[in-house]
Amino acid sequence: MKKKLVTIITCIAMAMAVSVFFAACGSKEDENSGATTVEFYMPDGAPALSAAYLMSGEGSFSENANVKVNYNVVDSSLINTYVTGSSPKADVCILPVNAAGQLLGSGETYTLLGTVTHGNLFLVSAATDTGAVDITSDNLDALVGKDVGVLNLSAVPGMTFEVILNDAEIPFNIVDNDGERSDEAVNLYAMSGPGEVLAYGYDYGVVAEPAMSLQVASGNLVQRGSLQELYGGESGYPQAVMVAKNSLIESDPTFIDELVAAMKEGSEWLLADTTDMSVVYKAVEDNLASGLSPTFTEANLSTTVIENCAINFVDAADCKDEIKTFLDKYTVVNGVEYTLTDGFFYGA
Amino acid sequence: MEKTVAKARRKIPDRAYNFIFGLVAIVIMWVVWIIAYYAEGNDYVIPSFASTMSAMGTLFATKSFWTAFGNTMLRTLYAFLGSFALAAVFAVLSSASKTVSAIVGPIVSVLRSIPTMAIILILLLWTSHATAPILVGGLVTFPMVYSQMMASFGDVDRKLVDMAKVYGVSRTQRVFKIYVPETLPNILSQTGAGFSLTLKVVVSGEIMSNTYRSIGGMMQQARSLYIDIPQLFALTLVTVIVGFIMEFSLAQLRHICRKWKGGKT
Repeated sequence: MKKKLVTIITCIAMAMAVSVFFAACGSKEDENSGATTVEFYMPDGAPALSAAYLMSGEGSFSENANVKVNYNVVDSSLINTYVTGSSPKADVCILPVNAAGQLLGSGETYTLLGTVTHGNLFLVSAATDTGAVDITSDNLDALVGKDVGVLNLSAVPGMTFEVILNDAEIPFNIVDNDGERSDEAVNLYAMSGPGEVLAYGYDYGVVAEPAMSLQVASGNLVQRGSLQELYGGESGYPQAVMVAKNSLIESDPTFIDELVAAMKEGSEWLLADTTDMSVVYKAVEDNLASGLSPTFTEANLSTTVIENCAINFVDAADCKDEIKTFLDKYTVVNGVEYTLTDGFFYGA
Repeated sequence: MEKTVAKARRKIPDRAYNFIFGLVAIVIMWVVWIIAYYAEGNDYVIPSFASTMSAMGTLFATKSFWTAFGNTMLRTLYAFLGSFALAAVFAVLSSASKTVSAIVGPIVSVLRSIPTMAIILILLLWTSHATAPILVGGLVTFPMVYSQMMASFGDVDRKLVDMAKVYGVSRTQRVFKIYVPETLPNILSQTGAGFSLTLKVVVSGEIMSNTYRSIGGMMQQARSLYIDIPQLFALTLVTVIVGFIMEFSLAQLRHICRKWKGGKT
């Protein structure tokens, strides 16, 4: 009996050891095909839409690229965890431009390939508010003395709005829990959902897609302006950028070139008449992190929403100055220094 | 007035008495809601009772709601059963060994003190949006169930146990004839409250995690995407009602112990 038990335990241990051995060998490179596995991470929302062309299979890589790409659509609040640490998980990553500048700007591990999205933030007001007006760069001072609820005030939306006000030399006042509002400045309130424009009676709100289009369509809110237009420039402000590991760029430059080309094709594919919205949101949903609710669904994705998401890939060489200028303005409002070496920009 | 109430109290059976005044409590809460609705005058802050009921009816007719409801209840079940099993194991070990009790006690205190929302944020970094609510539900419920079990074990009459030992009653018989009948009614009577708490924490976790196809995820979407406050209230009401039903139903489990009490069958 004892001998049988020892035999069984020994067999199980050997089987486990062998399986671990094969698992370790097969994890990153397929020895037979020689293809490299690339982990592509992106936050859900507009950045994920930008890669939908590839995720859906409409776009693909040639045999010359010799890669197998695993797409990972994750919670936006966790995207930084995939590009940091001693062995970052992401080989390719889309992340907010300020995060890229702050965490990766030295260019030691990652290189910026280009800007992926150019902002999807809008000024809205309650549909019942007859006093609200459309806001353009010509009448930005109409916001002085008004109450503006800002989604994620302490993050990109809030900072971007502050940059716009700062550029126009319009004073703003962040009203926190015990703070007092001012009639001489634009009063900014932290808002966790567009509904607070209606609940708290803010004069205006800064909200993102797809909530903006949904609420305009349902008659709750009215669009009063676009932060992209208020910021100015050809495409507005850079919101999300794509980076790739230096080791990947060195080992497979063909893949990088094809990836950039595919991202550009993807921008056009999203807005093409022939593109079925269900293909787009399914492509994202199929690669969503376990249990995460998708931002875009059948109920809220449309060509209008995609247009508003300003998905447009711009090469690093062409957007380098735009990014540096934008982050310099960020430094003025949030005090964070962004170190961006020239080597951080691919092809610059 | 007091004499009248006391007289009525003597005439009305306990169950009916509790039922009647339970209904009174519900009516009071409903009236407070109506007053708050008219006082606020803003449907985006407090929706009307009618719009909430209408939203609830729409929910019940929607397949996605039942999928979400089933997923949330399943997560709650996993969280509760997991915490119950772990609590039972550790409570038994702690009762049998002072050393184990001395080690487990501080750990339970720490778990009891950790802010729930902080645990969710941390768990999201380590697990997934579907798993984090289960773990946080279990972590919050475990200290409560453990403490209840320890209190129940502590209430067992030591003289009874000593007498059983003196008369040579086997360990198995001591467990099933003394410990189980003495502790089980107390433990089972608290199961409903424990499950209700787990449900509340799991839904909170789902809201924070924006868990797909869950009651919490639907609440998050109702508030932040669709600004459907009646639906948000309806989902909250459904959670409250389900928690109440489970608490009441599971509290009846203590009756299955009757056959052990006093030798009655």
